[in-house]
Amino acid sequence: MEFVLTFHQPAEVFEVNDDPVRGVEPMQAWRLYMEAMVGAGVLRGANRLEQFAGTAVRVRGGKRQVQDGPFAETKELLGGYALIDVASIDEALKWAERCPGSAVGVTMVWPVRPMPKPAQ
Amino acid sequence: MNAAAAAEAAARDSYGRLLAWLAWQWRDLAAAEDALADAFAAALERWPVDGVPAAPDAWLLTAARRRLLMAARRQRLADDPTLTVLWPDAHAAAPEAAPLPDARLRLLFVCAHPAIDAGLHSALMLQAVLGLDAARIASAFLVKPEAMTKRLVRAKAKIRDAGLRFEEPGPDEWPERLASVLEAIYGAYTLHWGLADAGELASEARFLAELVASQLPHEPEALGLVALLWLCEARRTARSEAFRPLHEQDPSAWDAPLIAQADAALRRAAARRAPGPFQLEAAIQAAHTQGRIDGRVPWDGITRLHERLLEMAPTVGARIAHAVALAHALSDPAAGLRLLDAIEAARVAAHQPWWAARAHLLAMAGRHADAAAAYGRALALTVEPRLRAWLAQRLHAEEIARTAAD
Repeated sequence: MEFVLTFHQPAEVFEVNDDPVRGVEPMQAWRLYMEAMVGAGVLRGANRLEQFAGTAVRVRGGKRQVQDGPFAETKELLGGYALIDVASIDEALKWAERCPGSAVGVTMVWPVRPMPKPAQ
Repeated sequence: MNAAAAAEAAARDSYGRLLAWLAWQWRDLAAAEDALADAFAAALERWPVDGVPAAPDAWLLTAARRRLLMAARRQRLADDPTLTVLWPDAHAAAPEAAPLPDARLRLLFVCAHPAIDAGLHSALMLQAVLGLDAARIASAFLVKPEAMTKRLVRAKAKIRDAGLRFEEPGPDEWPERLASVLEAIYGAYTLHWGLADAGELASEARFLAELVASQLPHEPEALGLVALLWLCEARRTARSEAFRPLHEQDPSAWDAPLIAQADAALRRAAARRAPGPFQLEAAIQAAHTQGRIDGRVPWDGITRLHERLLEMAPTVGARIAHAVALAHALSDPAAGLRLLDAIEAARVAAHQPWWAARAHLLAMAGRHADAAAAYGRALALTVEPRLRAWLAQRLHAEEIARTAAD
């Protein structure tokens, strides 16, 4: 079963992680975490996201509304994601628990709904 | 024990007794739980007004039985109105003053029945015999509360619909059935290892092990399990303290009377000359404990115990522990590493104890860079804060040793 883990963290956490001195320990934890997922053979893909540069697009009454991030209403910014393939939701939750981001922010676990492949 | 803890212990004891008796009489665990919950709710309402009855258990039992009877009558009425008058009150003839026959062992056998998914045995026991709520159990198993509730409800429906007997198993199935009861209790105990509020769950499991050992004082494996849990509990450091592996602990901080109690239980078990996995596991723990107290760990003997254990139960955990013991017995970390490498990679890739054992043996072999990498992997696979702190410390020490060697 595939799941997407999304890593949400407060803005201060990103500042710490990007700091060449204070960021050493948390970034090592992230590296070890990703290596553990690779080692366990569950990781299908992962990326950092530009957590301040998101853009929201809505269409209301046929009109496009575009809003630039960061979005004031969300305290926690989406900073990355991982796609994992594990046997069960329980195992996915276990990986979310191990995530360094869970200790300072929140890791969301999204079951992937299989979609038919688009026609060529 | 203070008054609050005493009251809690009494409640834990009576809940399981009452539920086990009701479930045994009615052969319906879910209905018995509902009725008992109603009875407890009624007690909360009535006792502050009327005063606590002289025999609180009997009061609760009568109230719960009345609920069950009413529910059954309603059901019968719906099924067949002519039967209503015939529905016997035989169920009401329970001993009011006489001590309740202890049916908790029967209930444990039902919870660990082979027809019930083995992954649910521990959870069912914690709920049925100790009254833990589904949310607490779910958090211990790291699953969603609704998912755990659903699984427990399904298991109880199966107990009722499959007509599982609330009796002790016959001699032919006894050893296998007892083994699953003991395994589920041990499973409940090991759950606390990854938890912050560990003490509570550990003592609940210990209570179950003591219950079985007291009801089956001649079963060597029941004694082995209780001895094992007593030894673990005797050494369980205060929660505020930092994690220390056995060889770094201070034996004077251990609970000596509990260790003596475990040794006595283990000797009684050994006298029956029927070794089993829990006795061997307890003997290994006893050897480690005594070895620390004496200042010399008998690695040769411990390795032989591990070999016997592997013959009976070649689990991944047993293979890891054997590899470490052998490396120490021979003072040859490479021999231990070969055993670790022989375990199928897929089974240990995300298994923290394997990486920690590997790191320990690599450090012993002076391969500091590899040891640091293995400690790093163990760290990434651990969420328990005290264990994380210790692994981070080991990782750091190996990184320093590696730099020094360069």
